[in-house]
Order: sequence, then C-alpha cells, then structure tokens
Amino acid sequence: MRRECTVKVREGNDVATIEVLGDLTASAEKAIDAAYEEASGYNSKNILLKFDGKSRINSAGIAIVINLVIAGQESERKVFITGVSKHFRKIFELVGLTKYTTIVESEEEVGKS
Amino acid sequence: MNQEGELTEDALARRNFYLKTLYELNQELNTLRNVSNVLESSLLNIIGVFGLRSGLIAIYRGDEIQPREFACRGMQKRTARKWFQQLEAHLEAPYSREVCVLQDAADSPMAKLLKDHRFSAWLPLQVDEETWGGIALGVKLSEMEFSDDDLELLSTIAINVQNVLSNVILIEALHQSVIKETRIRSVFQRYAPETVISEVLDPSNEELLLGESRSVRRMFDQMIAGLEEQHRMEQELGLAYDVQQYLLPGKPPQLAGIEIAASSIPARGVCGDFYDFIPLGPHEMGISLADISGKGMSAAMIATMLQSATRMCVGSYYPIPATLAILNSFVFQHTDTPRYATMFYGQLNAQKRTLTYSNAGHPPAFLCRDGKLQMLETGGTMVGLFEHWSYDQDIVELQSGDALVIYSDGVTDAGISPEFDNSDDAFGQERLESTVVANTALSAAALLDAISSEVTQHTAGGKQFDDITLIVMKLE
Repeated sequence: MRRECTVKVREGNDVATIEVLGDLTASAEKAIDAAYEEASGYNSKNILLKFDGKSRINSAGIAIVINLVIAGQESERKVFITGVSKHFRKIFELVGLTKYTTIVESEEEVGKS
Repeated sequence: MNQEGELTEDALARRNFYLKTLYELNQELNTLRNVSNVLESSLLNIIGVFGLRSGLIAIYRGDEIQPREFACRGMQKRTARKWFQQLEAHLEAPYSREVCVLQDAADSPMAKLLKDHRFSAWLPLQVDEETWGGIALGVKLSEMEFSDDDLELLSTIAINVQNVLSNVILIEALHQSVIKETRIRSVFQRYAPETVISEVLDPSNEELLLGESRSVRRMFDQMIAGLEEQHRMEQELGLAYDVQQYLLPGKPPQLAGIEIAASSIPARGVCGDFYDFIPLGPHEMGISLADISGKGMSAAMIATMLQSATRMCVGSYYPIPATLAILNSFVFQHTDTPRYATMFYGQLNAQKRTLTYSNAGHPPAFLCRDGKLQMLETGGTMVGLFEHWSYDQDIVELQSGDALVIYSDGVTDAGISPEFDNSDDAFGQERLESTVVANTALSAAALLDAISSEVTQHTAGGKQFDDITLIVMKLE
C-alpha cells in the first residue's frame, strides 16, 4: 500500500536535513522542490536527504532525487542520502546516483565524510 | 549475464526495476486525461529509470515545425527551444522519424545534433496519422551505454506512451467539439425562433402575431428540442465512430513473409467488435479480435476500453494466458451491468513462423493448409463473465501457403434477422470454411474480398444486424 509522502526540513551542524516520510513518487515533487529551496536558504554546505527506512521510491521518485542531486552539485553543495533499504541502495547504484551522492548510515556520518 | 549465461544480481535487480517501472507507468498513464500530464509523467519516469541528467519529450501535429506541446527536465526551456530550432532543419529527413542512439551512430546527422545538445538518444513517437513526436534522452549519470534491455524497455514505453497520447488527444478533441457544439446550440436556441417567426408571420396583424407567435414559439421549442436530441445522438454516435476509426489500425502492419488484410463493418454506426495489431519487435506482433456482448454505443465504449487495456497488458511482457486473465477481471470489474466479450488473442512470430494464441470463447479461428482446416480453440471462457478465470495457450507451427482466418460471429451469422432468428438463414461456418478452402491460393487481401463478397451475396444486400470483422493472414 502506498504511503503518503510528507517532507520536513531542519538545520543541523553544517547540514540541512530534508526528512522524507512515506513513499517518494511523482506526487511528492513539489514538496521536495520546496524543501530543497528551504534547505538552500540555510548556510550549510551539506544537504542530507533522510528517508524513513521504509520508503518506497519509484522511477519518478528517483528522477526527483536526481534533480535534487544535480541542483546541489550546481550550487556546490554536497548531497548525502540516508535511511534507504538495501534494495534501493542497489537501485541508486544502478542508475548512477551513487557517483554523485554519498549514502551514509546515519546523520552523524555526514560531517565526517 | 555471467559466463554461464545466468543473470547477475545487478542484471536481475535492473530487470525487476524495469518491469516494475513499466507496470507502474502504465497504471499511472491510464489515469491521465491531458497531453501535458502524459508528457510530464512519461519523461519523469524515463529519466528516473535510466538515471538520466536530462530529457525532453515533444509532440508535433502534421507538418508543423514547432511542437504542439513539450516537456523537458534537467534543462532550461530556452535550451529546449534551441533544440527544436535546430531540429527544424531535420524534420523533413526520414531519419528524424527513426531511433538514433549515439553510441551506435556517432557520424549520422541526427547523432551530431544529439551530441551538440548533450543528448544520447532520440526515440520517435508516432501517435496517430497526424501527430508524431519524439523523446530526446540526456546522458546517463552512470556514463554507461544503453544496453539491449534498456532499448527494449524504451521501445515498450514509447508504444505505451503513443497509445495513451492517441487516446488522450482524441478525448481532448471530443471535449473541444462538445464545447463548440453546446455554444452553437445555445445561440441557435436563443435567436432562431424569433427570427423565423418575424419572417413567416404578417407583421401588420399585431393581435394575431402575439397569439400566433406564442403557439408558433411553443411549436418551435418542441421541434428544436426534438431536433437537438436527435442531433445529439447522431453527434455522439458520429464521435464514437470517429474514436473507433482512430483506434483501428490504419493499414495492416508489415511483417516479413506474412500478408495481412483486415476489415470491420459496424452494424449500427459504431462497432462492438474490434481488431488490433500490436508491434512487439521487428519479427513479432500481437493480433487481437474481440466481440463485445450487446450492440451500439455501450458495446462500442467497452470495445474501446478493452482494446486499450489489451495494448497496455501486451506491452508489459505478460504471458498470453496471464494477459487474458487480467483482461477478464478488468472487464468484469469495470462494467456495471453484466457484459462480456469473446476474444481471440495471438502472437505471431514471423522469424520462428509460429502463432501462440489463446481463444476466450471466440468463434474458432482456423488455419487452412492444403485444403485441411485446423481449429484454434484452446483458451478459456469469454472475458468478463466471471471475476477470475484462467486461460490456456497453444502454439501453432506455420508453413508457406497457410491461410489463417480470424473472424467475429457477424460473419457466420450474416443473414439472420433478429426478428425471426432462424439459423438456417445464416451464412454459417461451413460456407465460410468452404470459401476459404476454395480460395486459399489467393493473397490475404483477395481472400478477404472473396469472403466479404460471399457474405454480401448471401445476404442479398439486406440489412446488416451484427458487426462483421475479419482478419486474414497468408504465409508467403
């Protein structure tokens, strides 16, 4: 069953975290774009896209992540991802996303990478 | 694949992801009702599934050099417009309507254009006779080339997008037509009666004019209401007929070594039968022929729905029995009153010379070889009759000179009047079979003509009570 997506943004220690709760599909695009805008307004060099561990991400959702990663690259921000299942790590790797973003185990790892 | 020819973990994960994407995209596209949403959604999914930096999808109408509509991602709209400007010079060239993948065609004019715009492939779309377009794919984030699996997925997506766009464009056109019609009617209703009254009555007799004008007005109102109702029904029937004609294959497809002819003649303006040819690759195509229970507008609507659903399922790699099982549940669940359809669906492989088919309660299609007939009856019951049903399939080996005939019961029942329902009057299965045996040496088109002419002769030009649909194939 599809879980509605909600998005929250918060600022931490040199990292702006975009928390994604639920499934990432086309319908979440506006919320993710708005969250990225908000996160870009913070003074952080790093952006963390944090999934809740159960999120299902379809191909449209991956396109949204690609958009965010490219936008981060263009504004010289490093984008990290956490909270994705092993399956979606594999998918991110297959579509080449892992070349442009780092998947971390926890938020704490962001500063260390 | 590894050296033993097995799928590696990556290849398996990728294939699963592709199938899931195809399934979900089909489901999503079926819910969309306007061109721009179809373009946006298709592009978003294509970019995600291949991990592309950018992409663009556009459709053109006729010979126009500017796209009717487009969507782009990972690039500015002005950059997309530059692409269209430069594409203009190539629109007349046949290669603009062919697939171009940069890795395979580095020196072609299209490849040069793609390279200049940082695209890696161009996939044309042929939506209908008037509308065409294409998808330009940006480079992959992985920097990998497009694999055979990628190209297969792309072409399947393209087929599905074309079908959905074709339906959506029609719906948009119908919607516009209804709006225009409503405006004309409201203007006519408002002004015509008074105008006509002033012309037909003597303006010098004011008393008579007042009395008469009221009764004439009432008469006109009734007449106009009646005419409007009749006009509305004719219009709806005409529009439904247009929808069906758009959905029927314009001309039989080309498949090496196989001649194909087909025709469908509705009994009441719109048809409860449909036939379709679905390209499945260079050597293979799907063939469907179905007959919906009932006649007129409602049967035609279900026929259109079933035809679209068939295309969607077939484009999603389901095996034939699974396709029919899905269509069976689909018709059952999407019709309020009990409706069902007899349906023949087969996949013809010109290279292997095989026909894999399943027959869902449809009159048995048959193969005529050296004057002998083989009935194609394997399958299951009619689709839509029960919520769940399973179907079997059979594979027929084909040979040169074979004639394959698929038809609706309108052919064999031709001549029966619903008032008398005397089956002795019917054209009948035997006449059909003997006509095919006697004319088996003819080309597909000539054999179809021979059958049609025998049917016409049998009914002696009388009224047609059922839709008559026929597909004839001949193996060279």
